[in-house]
Amino acid sequence: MTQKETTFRIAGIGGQGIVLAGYILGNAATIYEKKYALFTRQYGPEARGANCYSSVIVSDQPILYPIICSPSIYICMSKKAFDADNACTVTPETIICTDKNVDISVCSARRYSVAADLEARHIGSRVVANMVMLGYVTALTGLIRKESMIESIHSAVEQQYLPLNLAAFNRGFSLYTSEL
Amino acid sequence: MVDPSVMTGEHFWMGNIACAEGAISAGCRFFAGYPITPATEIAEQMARRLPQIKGVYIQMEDEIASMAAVLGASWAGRKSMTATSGPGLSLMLENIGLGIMTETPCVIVNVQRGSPSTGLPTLVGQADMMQARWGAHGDYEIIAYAPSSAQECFDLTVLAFYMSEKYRVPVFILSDGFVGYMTEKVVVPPAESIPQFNRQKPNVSREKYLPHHLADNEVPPMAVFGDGYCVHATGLTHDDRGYPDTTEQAQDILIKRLIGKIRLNIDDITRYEATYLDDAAMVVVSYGITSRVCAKAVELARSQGIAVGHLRIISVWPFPDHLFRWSFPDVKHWIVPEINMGQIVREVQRAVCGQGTVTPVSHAGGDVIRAEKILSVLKELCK
Repeated sequence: MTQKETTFRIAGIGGQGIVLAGYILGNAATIYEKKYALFTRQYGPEARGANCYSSVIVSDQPILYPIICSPSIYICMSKKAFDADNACTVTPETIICTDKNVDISVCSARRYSVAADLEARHIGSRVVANMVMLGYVTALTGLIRKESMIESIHSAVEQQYLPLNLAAFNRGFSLYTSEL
Repeated sequence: MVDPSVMTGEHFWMGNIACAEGAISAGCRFFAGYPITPATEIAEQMARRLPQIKGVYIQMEDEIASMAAVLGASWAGRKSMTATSGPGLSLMLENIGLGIMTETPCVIVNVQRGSPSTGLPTLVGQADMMQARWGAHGDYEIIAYAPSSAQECFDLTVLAFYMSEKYRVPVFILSDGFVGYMTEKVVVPPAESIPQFNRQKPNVSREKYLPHHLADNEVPPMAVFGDGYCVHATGLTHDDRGYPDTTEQAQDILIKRLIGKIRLNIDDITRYEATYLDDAAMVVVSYGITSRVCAKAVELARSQGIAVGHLRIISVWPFPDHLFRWSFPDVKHWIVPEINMGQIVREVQRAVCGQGTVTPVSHAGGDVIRAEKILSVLKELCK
């Protein structure tokens, strides 16, 4: 119970790759960092367009409790999903990363606005905005090495879509590092 | 040579994928099913994997046919499985009863969701516990294991095949929508250390073989179609040849044996985990995903000086009455959180038999119970 856990909540709309982003993060931590991760997803029966959430817990020890109440990092890719999130509460300590298009009213000492959607369009497709965001958060948190995330993307994304996804991830990573 | 069917190593799998891989590692080579949330990933994984290892995957027209195909495949000698959720299980139950009566080894994974009827397709429930136990008509005993992690989805599916082959009975994995989708590290051991049991074959000549005649224990050796023996399988009450014998005497012998082969071996079938029981005056009883929450609640309570223990029931059926009656005589309160309006709590009440109070912590479904809620019940009982 005293173990140090880092918790991520990703909120968006079905079709934005919210589940894939959660999987890639947890897979990188578990398989390529040899940490422990627990990944859950929440969505309704709709095929796409409804609110969708991923929760990822990362720890150096086995994870017992699968629930996140106040995430360390909240990644918000949709105002609608964020506003409807009854399961998680953002605290003043929560690091919040939102897409630049998303305007949410919440207080946090550490809030980052990421042009994920815009950069994804420049790279070639809006659907990789999740990867831009993952790249940004990887650089921001320093919890998981960039190489591990890239390995995880390789194992989770089909070969034909790899260049697009990797370009988006790298773009997101450099977005943060260029801000330093 | 490395066995290509066993994916030895570390994986980041959801519970559903772990179930499928556990089945394959146990030797399952036939899957028939019909997709249903939140169990579809099991069928998808079997559809991907079985053709690679000389197995057969069939998507059937519905769950009734799926269960029939699973029984048929088992009688053709394959270890076979299906996976579904509540609405599909309702359809399968008639043929599960046939599987019990014909003593057909097979495994049924039920990834429970909010219910009844269509309910909450993508959200968790634990309300099919009694359906698994009593859903098919008639009098019988069944075996069911409830996993609480992706690792247990793998391990218990392996165990389910083991018990199903050993006792010639359909075995349930009572998973749930949370465990099914929860993705965690799963360690798959080397193939040689995965326990396997293959149904006992007859060791007598074709002329002397009686399909339901008992040899050394309550489970008759099983010749399947194509082995060269004279085999007859029927849902009617039958004699030791397997031929219908619809008399009171035949019923008495058959049903007592079908029930006895499970009840008499409950110690072999039972799995549980007891934590902090030594000094506990009250004990939280849990199964499935609720175990993870209860474990946290117990830790929180202990940190606040409350002497509470945790009894995690892994084998839900046959219900381990003996644990309650004889193992923990000093316990005064039993607390049973579950994602239904009170099912296993009734079993605990029955098993405790008046030796202590039993308190349910109910949730109608759609999410797991929070540890804080269980903690508040524990504190209330301390007053």
